[in-house]
Amino acid sequence: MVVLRIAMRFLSSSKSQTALIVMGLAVGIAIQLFVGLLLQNLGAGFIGTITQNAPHVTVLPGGNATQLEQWEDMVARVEGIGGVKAVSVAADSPALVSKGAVSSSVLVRGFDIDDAARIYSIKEDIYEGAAPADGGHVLLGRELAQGLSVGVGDNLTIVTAARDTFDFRVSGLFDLGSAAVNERWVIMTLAASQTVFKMGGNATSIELKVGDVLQARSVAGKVGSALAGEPVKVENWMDLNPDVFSAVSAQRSSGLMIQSFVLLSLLIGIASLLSITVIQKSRQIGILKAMGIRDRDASLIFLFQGFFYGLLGTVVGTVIGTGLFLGFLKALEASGDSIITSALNVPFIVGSSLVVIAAATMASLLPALKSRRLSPVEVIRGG
Amino acid sequence: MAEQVLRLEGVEKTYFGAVDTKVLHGIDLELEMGSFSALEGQSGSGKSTLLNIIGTLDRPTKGEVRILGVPTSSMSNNELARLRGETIGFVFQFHYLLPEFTARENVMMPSLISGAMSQGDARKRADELLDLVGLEGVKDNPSTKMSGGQQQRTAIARALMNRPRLVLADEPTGNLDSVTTGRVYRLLRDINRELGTTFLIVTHDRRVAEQTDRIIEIKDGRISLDIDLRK
Repeated sequence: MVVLRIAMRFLSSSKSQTALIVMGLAVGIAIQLFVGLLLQNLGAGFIGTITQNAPHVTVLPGGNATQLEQWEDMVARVEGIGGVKAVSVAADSPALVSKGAVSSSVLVRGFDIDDAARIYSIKEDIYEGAAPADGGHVLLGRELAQGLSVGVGDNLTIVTAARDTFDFRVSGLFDLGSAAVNERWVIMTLAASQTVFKMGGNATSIELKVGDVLQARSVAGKVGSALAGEPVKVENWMDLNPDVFSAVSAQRSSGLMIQSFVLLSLLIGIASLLSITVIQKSRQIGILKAMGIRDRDASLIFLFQGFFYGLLGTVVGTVIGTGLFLGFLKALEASGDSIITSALNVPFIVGSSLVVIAAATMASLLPALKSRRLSPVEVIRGG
Repeated sequence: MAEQVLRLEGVEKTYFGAVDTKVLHGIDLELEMGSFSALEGQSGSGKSTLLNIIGTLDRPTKGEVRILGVPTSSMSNNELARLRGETIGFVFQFHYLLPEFTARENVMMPSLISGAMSQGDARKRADELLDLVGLEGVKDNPSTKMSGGQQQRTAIARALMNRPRLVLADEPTGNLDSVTTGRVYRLLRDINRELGTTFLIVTHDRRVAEQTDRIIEIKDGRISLDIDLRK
């Protein structure tokens, strides 16, 4: 195709100009990808920190109710809801735990440990001992165990609000990554908690994890609908942490704005550079028209050039941008803990690349029209 | 009567602006197939405008241009582009070669644009034409790495690439020394005789004009003289 051949030759005949344009584009694209990936991963890391070791949606007793009575039926109804990844039931109650003269106010959490392990990283976070295998054992957090000066195998006493006392043996110690949780939680089996706090077969909450944490609000809506008529209230992490969520949203929109401006400056850059190229090549275009090239083909030459600038710039820019991001992460990791995740969002990279290539081609429309309108007589008359 | 390659009927050209300028006044002209004619005139006489209109690079304000009997006034730009590519070859005062391409590629260009022949055939014909104009040794040279005479001969070879019926040459030796000028005109003459291509050559050099078959002189936008030198 002669038009393609001419466009390629125009590009290759002015190598330094082409290299400059491509590098300019590549730097713009690299910034766009770097900023995009950084903000996405910062947001994801931030949200991840909050949602990783916590339920995303929680069903609690509503109205005057303090316990969930028909929880097995409720679990069956919410398990099948789209987006729900894991369901766990808890029987919780505040209590006092004492060892000798030392006592501490705690929250006893009764779980089916296997179910709860899909909501919290309990099993992975046991750093000594094991999960309670029966109703006589409990798990303690690191700070609580230190405060009570107990270790695995030691006994302690739990005092309920009704002043009933129960002796338990410590089966293991955990560190869930939060001092507040480690200081306050005592984990035992669901049945043990129900017995200690005289709940009968009741529970106090149903906790859910969803596939996409940002869909928690919509999943909570569906859970609410599925449990309509039951005396329950449904909470989700987004509504419980509005500041976090709005910060992440603001970060996302500011990221989008930065990327839009970078894209806009790229567009203006390409359009103006190609406009200059049309003027530079007007003699060639005029002579090609005199030789019979059609107006449409004369404009295609510059559309192809815009496309190739976009393509080359995107390839180079993607390598630089992702390289920069990964290098930045390495440097952060080397300097300590980083909450930024390291996901290379491939759809985002491919999408951004396609947008830039399309934009570069679009930006060449104006120069292409100029080339289309160029009259061979003007060039020939001009000498 | 010999077949006509070109016929102008009452062609007028006015440039509209703050002051309208009428450059051509009702030109009637015919060119026979295979003729070798000179278009003469002072600077500003309108001869280049007339050549551009004949070459369909420009449109007349009034009148009709017929190429091989076909009227061109109602043709679209694309139809004119195709007609030019297939029928007319141009040699300009400035060679107007594409600096990004080699001599051979420049010569092949009209054929690549029209798509009239395969790349292989186009290359073969370009080589033949470059041999014809005596440029055997510089076919692969970039067009910018050739002398003025070589560039102009490349432009002549390019004008002949699509076997045009009519070649329009606007002072094709304007930038060349007298020895090269003589060589280029002999070349055009030889091509005219051997290939039967019709030539219309703009010149202001009477000695050059006298070597053609016919002299058409333009003065103030009108044909002031039209002599057939063969009679």
